[in-house]
Amino acid sequence: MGPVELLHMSVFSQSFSPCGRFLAASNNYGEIAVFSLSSSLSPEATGINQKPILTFTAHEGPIFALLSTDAHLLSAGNGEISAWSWAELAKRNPKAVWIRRPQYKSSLEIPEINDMIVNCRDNSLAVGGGDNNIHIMDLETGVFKSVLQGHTDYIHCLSMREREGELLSGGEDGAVRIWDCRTGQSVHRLEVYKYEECARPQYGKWISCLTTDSDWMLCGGGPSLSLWHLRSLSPTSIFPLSGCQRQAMFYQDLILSVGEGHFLSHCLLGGDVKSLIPCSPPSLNTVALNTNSTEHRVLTVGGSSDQIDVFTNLSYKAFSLSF
Amino acid sequence: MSDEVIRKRLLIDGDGAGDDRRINVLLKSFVKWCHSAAPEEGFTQYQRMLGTLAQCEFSMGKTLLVYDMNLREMENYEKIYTDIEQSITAAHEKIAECKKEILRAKRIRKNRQEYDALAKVIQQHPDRHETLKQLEALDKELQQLSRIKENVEDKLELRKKQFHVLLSTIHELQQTLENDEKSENDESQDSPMENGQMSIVAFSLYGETEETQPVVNKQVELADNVLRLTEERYLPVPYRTPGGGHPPGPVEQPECCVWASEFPHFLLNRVL
Repeated sequence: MGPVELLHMSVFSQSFSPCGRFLAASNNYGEIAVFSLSSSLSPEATGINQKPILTFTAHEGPIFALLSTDAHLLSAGNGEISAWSWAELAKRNPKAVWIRRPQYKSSLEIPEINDMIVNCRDNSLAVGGGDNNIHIMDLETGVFKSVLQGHTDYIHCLSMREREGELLSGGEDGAVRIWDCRTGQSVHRLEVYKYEECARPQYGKWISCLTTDSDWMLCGGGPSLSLWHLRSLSPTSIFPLSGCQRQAMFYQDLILSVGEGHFLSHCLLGGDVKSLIPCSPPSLNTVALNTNSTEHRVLTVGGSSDQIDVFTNLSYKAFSLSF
Repeated sequence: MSDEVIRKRLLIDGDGAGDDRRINVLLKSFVKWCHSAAPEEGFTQYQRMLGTLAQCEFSMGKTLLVYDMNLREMENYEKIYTDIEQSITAAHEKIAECKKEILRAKRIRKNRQEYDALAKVIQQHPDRHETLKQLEALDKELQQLSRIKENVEDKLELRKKQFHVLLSTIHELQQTLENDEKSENDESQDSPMENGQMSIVAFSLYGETEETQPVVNKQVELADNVLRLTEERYLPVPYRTPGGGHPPGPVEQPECCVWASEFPHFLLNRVL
């Protein structure tokens, strides 16, 4: 990988292994790199420990979504979903366990897959992307059970509302749709850009980040990042962050969010921005927190650079892993 | 075995100065004293030997005390060591407790913030009591208005019925007058026009009374004309009004035609 390619690399998504000792990151060249956290976090770590233990080309196009299940790493690129075994990846053996492709209506153009999420209740995978639909696949059998139609433009992000068994999807058409997983019908449709306090017409109406913890929902993108109360479907707080947010998450009593701009924002639920932590990539695409392991509790962010910043303490950057 | 002894001795007093030398000197002087002949020299030598012996004993006493002190110092250090270990474990536990506390406090803070956020949204909506009061007031107003509407409708119905009665009586009167006329002069030259005109006018008056004001006014005018014609024709001449074509006032008319002459006023003043 020459210096020019490294300069133009963007990290699009990350996923931690179920044991919590490895991090998988994907980029716009279709490659997945596996990093060992235990060796890079150890006291005697050197530069070589900040390089991946394994890099392989998983798909032909950019990989926008990575997801870890109990034993597999799922990656979505070039319109198809591949599964890799974590045990094999730890042994530096990249061999796909299965590769599946949802049924797309048009066969001329292959729509990209932008986000994937697992529904633990019925062990299914929801996949949303460029063909404006959400395809639901059963993880046991690999059969694509159903298609949720309703969005009028491509889907950016998916989120799962565990308690009620509902799926939330946000798309380019500015609508956040809430789907009931069992019936496959759209229960609600929220058009965020129609609310005056959230809308930012200079950026557009698209929703690129969506996350929920059953009672509350964070959504942002073109409109400002806002916190919504799902029962009453009303916006409660608007966060005054410049730039469009690409990923947000709830952590203890904070909201962490990344997007345009080289910083990770810490916000309080009331709508105040507590702090902006600077990171090395000029614009951030993904943030991930390792909840699977107690001794490697790190936060990693990646964006339009080949560096992935690792935070051991949420307030400052510890070091960077590089692709 | 002898190596050990040699090593220990070298460690303690390797350079030959101090206690070891003193003991050696004492031994040598004892041997010399045993071999000496003269008594006075022997006595001084004996005193000197006692002196060195005392010194040796003193130094031995000192080392014993030092040894005791070291032992006690060791015990002291052991105690301090165990104390510190205990406080370390206690501190670890406290840290774990505090971490749990902080998690709990963060959760509480999150709940408070969620509450505040919801409260902010709720505050934007108006007070429930006020809205209820407004609703009650509106209800009352609505009831009042509906009552008024009912009253007006009843009145309208009543007027319609009265109007209907009047018109039917007019029609009957017209009929009777026609019959009388027909029976009186069969060959008279009554213009069929007037009769026709009257019946047409009566028929139009018989029509809808719910029409708008200007139409009813027109009907009133027509009824007026009808009455005038009937008056001119059938009433006795001296009872004509001096004004000529105007409808007579209610006071100047004979009783038999009071209601008929009052008809247009009745319509104008009371119905409309």
